[in-house]
Amino acid sequence: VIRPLDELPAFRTTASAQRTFDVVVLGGGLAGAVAAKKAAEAGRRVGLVREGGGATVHSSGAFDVVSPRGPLAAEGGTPPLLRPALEALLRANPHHPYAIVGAGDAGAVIGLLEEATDDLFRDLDEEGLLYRGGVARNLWVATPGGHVKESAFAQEAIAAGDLAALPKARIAAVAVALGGPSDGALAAAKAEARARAAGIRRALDARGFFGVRELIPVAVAALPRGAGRAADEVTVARALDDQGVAAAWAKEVARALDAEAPRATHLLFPPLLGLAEPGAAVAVVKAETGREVLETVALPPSVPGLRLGRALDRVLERKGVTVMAGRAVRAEAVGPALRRVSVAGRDGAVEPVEARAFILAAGRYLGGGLRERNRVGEPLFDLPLYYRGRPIEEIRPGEWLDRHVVSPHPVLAFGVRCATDLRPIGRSGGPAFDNLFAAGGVMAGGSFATDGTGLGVGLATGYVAGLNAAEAV
Amino acid sequence: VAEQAGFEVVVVGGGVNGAGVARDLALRGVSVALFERGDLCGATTGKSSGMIHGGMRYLLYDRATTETSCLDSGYIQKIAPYMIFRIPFMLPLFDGRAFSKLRHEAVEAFFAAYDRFQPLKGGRPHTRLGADEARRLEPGLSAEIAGAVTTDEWGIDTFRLVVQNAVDAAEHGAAIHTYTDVVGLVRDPARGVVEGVRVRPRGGGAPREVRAKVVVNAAGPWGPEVARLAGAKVRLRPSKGVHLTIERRVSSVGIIAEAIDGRAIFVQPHENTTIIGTTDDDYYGDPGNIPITHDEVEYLLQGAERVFPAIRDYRLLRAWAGVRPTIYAEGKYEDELSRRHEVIDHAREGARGLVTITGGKLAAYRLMAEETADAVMRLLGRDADCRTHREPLPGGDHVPDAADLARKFGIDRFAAARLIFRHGSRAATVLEEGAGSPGGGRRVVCGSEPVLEAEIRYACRHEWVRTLEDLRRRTRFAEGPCQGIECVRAAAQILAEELGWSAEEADGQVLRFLDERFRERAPTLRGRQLAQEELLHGALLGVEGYNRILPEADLW
Repeated sequence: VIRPLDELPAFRTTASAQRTFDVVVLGGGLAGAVAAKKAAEAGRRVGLVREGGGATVHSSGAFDVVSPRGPLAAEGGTPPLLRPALEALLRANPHHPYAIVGAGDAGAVIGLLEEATDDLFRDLDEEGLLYRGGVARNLWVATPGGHVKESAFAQEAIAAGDLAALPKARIAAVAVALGGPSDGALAAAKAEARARAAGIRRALDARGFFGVRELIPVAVAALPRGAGRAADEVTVARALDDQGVAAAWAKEVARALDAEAPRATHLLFPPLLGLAEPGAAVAVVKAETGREVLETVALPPSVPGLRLGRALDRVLERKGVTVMAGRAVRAEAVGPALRRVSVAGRDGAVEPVEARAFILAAGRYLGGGLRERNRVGEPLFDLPLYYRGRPIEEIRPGEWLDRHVVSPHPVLAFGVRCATDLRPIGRSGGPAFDNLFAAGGVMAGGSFATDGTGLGVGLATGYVAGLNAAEAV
Repeated sequence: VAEQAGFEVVVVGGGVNGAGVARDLALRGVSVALFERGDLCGATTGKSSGMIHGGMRYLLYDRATTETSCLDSGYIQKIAPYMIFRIPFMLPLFDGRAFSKLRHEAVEAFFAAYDRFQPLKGGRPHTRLGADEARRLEPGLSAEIAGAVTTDEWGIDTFRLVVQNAVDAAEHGAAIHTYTDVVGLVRDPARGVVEGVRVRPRGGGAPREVRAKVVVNAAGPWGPEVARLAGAKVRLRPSKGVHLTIERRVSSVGIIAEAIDGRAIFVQPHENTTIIGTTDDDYYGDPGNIPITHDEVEYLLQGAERVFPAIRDYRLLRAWAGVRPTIYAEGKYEDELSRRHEVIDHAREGARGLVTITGGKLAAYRLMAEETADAVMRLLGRDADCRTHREPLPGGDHVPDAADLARKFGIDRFAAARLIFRHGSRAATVLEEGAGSPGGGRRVVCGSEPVLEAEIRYACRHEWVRTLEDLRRRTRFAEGPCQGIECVRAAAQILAEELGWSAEEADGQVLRFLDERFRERAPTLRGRQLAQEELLHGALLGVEGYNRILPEADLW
């Protein structure tokens, strides 16, 4: 069940009284975190204001660069190349944020993404969260529903589950009896494992990939000690952060394998192998079972999304970024330059935060960057909003949504329009302020869920906005 | 091709009236076939407020409807005790108007008049509460209220009511056909007689003739269309009613509110959700495809927030609309129209053998069925008494104890209680039949309700489930906040096994289901609801990769 946002674990707030900065970032998802990191690395004093982890912590945690259109696979059952897909996207949608940061050139976007992923993943690696992948082809990672999802980079065990790279594997699709122990929970795990194995097999067949030799459903009845009768993956993942607990549980997994899938060479789990240190839990299970250990992605509340949120948090701390919990409710400018924002904390107190440059990275409706109240607006600066180059006022409410749930919905792709330096355009047609930049979901142009550019856009635009803001002060 | 034997009676329509008439006649030993264009309870009945109420609103101008509603509400409690639930209601009172004291007394006098009917339906008399008392009972009420008057009504799962009527009809020999259009009537124009129907199954198949001595038109808003096939006339003033569903129970009592135009609307705890209803506006469009505007959603929210200010903080899951087949009257406002029902014999229009039942309220469905069946019996020249007010509906003979059932079958107590709510004494049968499936059918497929695998298989085998939407109507699967994203594939897998779907068909059914859920959410997608949609959209596409399950779709 998708939980209300306020049930997610609270994120860290820096205990610091500092309220004057060189750069202040508004928004704490991936785009905001990357922008803050880049500005801090450039030697600026950086503050970050946020209410939570944004859409990032609800995401798959995988970095989608672009989802190719057309055939599911290239010749020989391999994932299609990304570059032609990116070129096609930029042709089809010249208002996409990639087109702005890459000046319309797919090669430039790929170059930027290579640089930005290298840079970010090095930092995440230092916090114990390893990413694998590349911008040439997508990985084929398994989903909890038994589909195959395309993504360029994913957390280590998820990327290790790149189905295109597992010829001859005999994969045990493992499901854990959450909410158990009970007959019903075990039956649910069995059905889940069966459906996942059969679904992945069909998805691979549809791609003409016959390399995976076997998909074997396996249900594990045991829950790790300390997880109680956990009905969710987050609790199990947290319990498995304890190495001793993980080792004892892995023995139970090994027993289930002996009974149900003795020939399995790989184990494909839902992403529940550790929250704080996934690498450690994976290593323990690998050692105890003698098999390669893989993970799928997850629906919200998503363990990989939370892992990413926590690791980003620690990166910000290491870079000396001051994190403030709250929401910017008012902005003040002197002439063309923004001077300060008023931040309302969770306790209701409002205090001013000053900076020489600001970055708006508050996302869309989920993050609070956009709000609908009789009209869709950007609540802090009242920036004009656009949909694919058109002012949203031209789009009648009857056109906000498409007929099909999985289609792009214009209302979910509204956002601010930016100049090439990522300064958002104001009502006059020029940059709204001399020193305001934007990044991530608040930018117009992309339908990130349908075009498969989610965290890729957050990373590329956050990276550029952070550098530009640092340079501007 | 004519069906050789034929039936004594064909019923057109699978709402509460059609199923009720089929059951009534089957219990009297009459051979019946029922044809429904879509799913049972898929239109007007399924889109009702789900209240077996006494028609308090009609007390001022239509006392007869109030009395029959209350009387029959009492009967429904006896024949289906497991599927109804008490809903205490509050009418908040406001001060600050001229003569407000007088007004409050008038309101109370009105409720006192309604009290006289309450014993008929096992209801409690009204009480008058001060502002503090009212807010203690229901803290969500506005601080502005000056007090409240309480009354007492009953809620029901309309889908279960219709299905159990159909099940009982079938167990007494009736043939139930869903997803079958009635495309014509078999007539002998020379004699002015209707002798059967021509039907065509949806999704292909040749039309066939089904002979009958009497055809009952229980097609609700489609009633005029069916009558026209015989050259006869049914005059309705169809009216659209919009409801909203909130994902959880936000209040402990039903609350009566006043909309901007002075009409009474309500916020009602209903099963695991809250229902806000309803609008009442003339509607002459297609009853099978009723558009809902954002203005209608706003009308309900604005009215509700006046008495329950936090109403917009909650997540709306659905907006849904039905068309009431209200009997025509000129010059009245929509909600002044009578909710009376009418049984029309079309003999004088040259269509002897065609009987229409229309108008009326959900609470009086059994009485309407009885009167219709009486008229049919006269036409058949047969004589047998109505038994529907005495014979329990399937599972209605007694209500088992949930804790006992949970212990006996090793299931969660809450799951047991919900299963009993839908199946009464047959809950044990559902679980016994499910024992053959993996894990004894005890797997929870939809965690929100919860719905067990055994119940899904049972619904497929005994309750005419053909699609995932049908399953939602039978079991409340996917009625929770995730709207099926987590459980729809697991459910589709079971339906595929039961109904023989291929994997591709199952994928198609899943997408159709998710689209239908979205279609009902769409009118609510403003304000905070947009954040939820952004999350669902991301989950479907960004996590589950649905963008690549439809490779031909244009997703850029």
